[in-house]
Amino acid sequence: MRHGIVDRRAFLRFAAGTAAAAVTAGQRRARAAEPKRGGTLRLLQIEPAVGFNPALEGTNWPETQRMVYNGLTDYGPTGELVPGLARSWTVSDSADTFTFRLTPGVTFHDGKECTADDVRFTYESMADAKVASPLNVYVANLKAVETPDKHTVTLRFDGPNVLMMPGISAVGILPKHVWAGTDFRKNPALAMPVGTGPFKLKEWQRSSHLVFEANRGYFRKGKPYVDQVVFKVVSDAATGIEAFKNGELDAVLSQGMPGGLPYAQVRQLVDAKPPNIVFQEFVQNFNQNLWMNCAAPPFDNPKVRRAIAHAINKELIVKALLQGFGRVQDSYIGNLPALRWAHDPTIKSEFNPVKANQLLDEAGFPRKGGTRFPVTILATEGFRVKLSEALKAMLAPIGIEASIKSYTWATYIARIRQDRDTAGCIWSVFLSRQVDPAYVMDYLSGRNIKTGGANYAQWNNPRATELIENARATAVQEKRKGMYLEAQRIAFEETAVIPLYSSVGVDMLHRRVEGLQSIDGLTGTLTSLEGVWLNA
Amino acid sequence: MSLWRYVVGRLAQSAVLVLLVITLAFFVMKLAPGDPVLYLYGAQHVTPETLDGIRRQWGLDRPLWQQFGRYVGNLLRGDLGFSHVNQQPVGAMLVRFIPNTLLLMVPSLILAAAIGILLGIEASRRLNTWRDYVIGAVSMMGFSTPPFWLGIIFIVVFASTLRWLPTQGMYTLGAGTQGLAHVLDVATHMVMPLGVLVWWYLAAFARLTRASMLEESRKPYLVTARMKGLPEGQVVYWHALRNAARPVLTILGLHLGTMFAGAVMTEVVFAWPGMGRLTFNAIIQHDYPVVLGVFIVIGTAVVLANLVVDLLYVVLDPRIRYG
Repeated sequence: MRHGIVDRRAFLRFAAGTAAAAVTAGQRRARAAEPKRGGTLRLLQIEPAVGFNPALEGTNWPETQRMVYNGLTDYGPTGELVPGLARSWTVSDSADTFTFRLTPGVTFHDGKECTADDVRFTYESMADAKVASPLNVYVANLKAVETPDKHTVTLRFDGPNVLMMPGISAVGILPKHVWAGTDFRKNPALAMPVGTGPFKLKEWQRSSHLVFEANRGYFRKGKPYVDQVVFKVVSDAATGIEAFKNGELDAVLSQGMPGGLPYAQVRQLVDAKPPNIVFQEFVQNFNQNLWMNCAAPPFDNPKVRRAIAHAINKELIVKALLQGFGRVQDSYIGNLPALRWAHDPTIKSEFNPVKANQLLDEAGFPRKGGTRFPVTILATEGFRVKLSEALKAMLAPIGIEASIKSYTWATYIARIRQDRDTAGCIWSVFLSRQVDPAYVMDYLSGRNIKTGGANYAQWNNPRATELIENARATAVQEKRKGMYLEAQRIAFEETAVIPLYSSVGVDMLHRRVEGLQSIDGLTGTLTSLEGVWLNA
Repeated sequence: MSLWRYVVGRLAQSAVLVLLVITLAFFVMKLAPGDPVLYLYGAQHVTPETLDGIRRQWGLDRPLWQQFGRYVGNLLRGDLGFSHVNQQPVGAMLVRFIPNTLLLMVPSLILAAAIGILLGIEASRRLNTWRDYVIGAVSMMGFSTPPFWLGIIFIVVFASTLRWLPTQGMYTLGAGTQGLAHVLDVATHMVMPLGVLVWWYLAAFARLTRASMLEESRKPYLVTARMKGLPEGQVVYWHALRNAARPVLTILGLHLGTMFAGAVMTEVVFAWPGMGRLTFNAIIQHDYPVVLGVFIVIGTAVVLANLVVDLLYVVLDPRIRYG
């Protein structure tokens, strides 16, 4: 119950002891007897999906990708990897060879069998420079794919691939016969994807809606339970909430994140405790960070960066701006399910404006007429503007005069990532999909400093880079842990980045929706809908 | 034949105008920092090489003049290009969205014009009475209320509280209704957005008709008409309105053209899949070919609508001649 924020487990404990509390997921499962079949499940989607092919979309729109595709692995009730298309797998000790045994008799929506060849094709496509897949960072060192028989596939990498299992094994498998030899970016299957998944795409109007129908030939017999699933894009938050409240939409998943419904409106709905709606809170797998350009003044001075960190009241941000949908995070590797083993709980940053002022004096930025120097906070319309206003107010007492510049997302990220036009700037970028420490630490590696690379802050610490790169190339988790603890400590002491909070999400469902599990560490959008049924 | 020459001349002018518009739009859009590749993949952990690879596939690595030349070349062959962001030909996208927009806009303009003109006439005939004031107040209220706010109020009242109407969308998704049932379904979904739009457009027509009628009412030909003993209805609706209609027609013409742009706020609030939202999303996504496609449609529509209005002037007022 740290910072007065209820995490999901604490919430479950609390709820179990309180008669009037919302029915918890556990009790719901107990009450749920035999799943009923049929009906249409209607979900709110805020940002319209534009594509399905995982090799092209990468990690965009996982919620709709998972409707039509299956990965080799799947996620279990606690977010652990469980069999998907692969009924079993082995990983070599050196983490460079992965062998998957496929479930026989699985067919694509067009009736053709899904075999080792399809798996091979999918992974080779992701690694193929010609395809330019955003997923190729996960399989960059792919050396060979072997298919000794129809249902066995072995992926061999040049050295360890620590991201293979947590990062990409659950990504959808493409049908080779549909995509092979075609221009991926012009193939008609872009508009009508063919997968092995529990649902088939039936109707798709861009920017408006997607309608899926149950795949009656699905390999998990008896599933899915519902006949149809509708994703309805409603961009206006107020309308979306009204449509959900009055039952036109059955569920709104994964709220409590930027780009979703505004925090205040979600909080209002949760606190109103409507009797017909269930709220399931869970720990999202992403966090928010503040970045500064470490390569240019004034932020090339670590003392200045630390001063900024001391000036920020994270608890206030979580309480007032996030309305409680977050937990303060101090160490760069957060206390998230997939990262916990490398998380350093002893790293604590302190809100201390006095110390911040001292550091700035020491750094050689005296107050001149009350102000030390100006900075620019970059923002996008919506939540980031609010966050920036809070930051501006927090920087004023330490003599830093901040101006806020707001852009559309494309322009914002171009300025940060492509143009590196960020001298004297502070900005926030979410690190989504925290599947492994290797993934998040890449953002601090000197190897990714070049224009367009992931190290936006251009923080260049040779020791940290060495540790990060070595850890990525090490198979044994215990060894990696030591490296990450040290790299994390350096990043903290140098204030390479200021972690703000990790996100707490909430899935909101009408009571008639059964069998939807909210899983810590997976955004609710990754929750499979094949087990959901309607108690109409 | 002079009228034809006039029309052909205007059409040629229009083509040049539309071409100018898209040239300007193309380069202004490209000048803005950011591109669709970063929009889609900028938040993912991708390498710069991957980003460049995608740009190469989308033809965004070529010099601007080459991209433009290619675009215009395709356009002349009737190809509006391919939206890589939405993975569809632009033409196909427009074909799906334009009817949805027209379905909403045509009835709202017709209703707004009809009701507005009637209210305007009524107001001008009962000048400075309570009726005049009520009509003025009601029409100005619609115009000065932001459509998104009015939309939310409608939703709270008619959908959430009274439960008479569906909150959003164009039809009940997944219901698979056919024939008459489908028509009824769409109609109930249309009521609220239509109401908001009619109320919003109403003011312009009502105020303009009122002002225009007042101006006419002072002219000697109406005195003559009345002295001839013509019934009042004929004086007002035949003689006065015919002359007062010209400015109203001009406004209608302008709206008819921009109608293809849809009504962004109304479409957003009611989650109506129309051109307004398509354009809005395309701009956010830096989806250049879609934005240009929309500009071409709107530009052409505005130009054509104005041409039609100019020709209608001849019908209304025989003193006007072209050529």
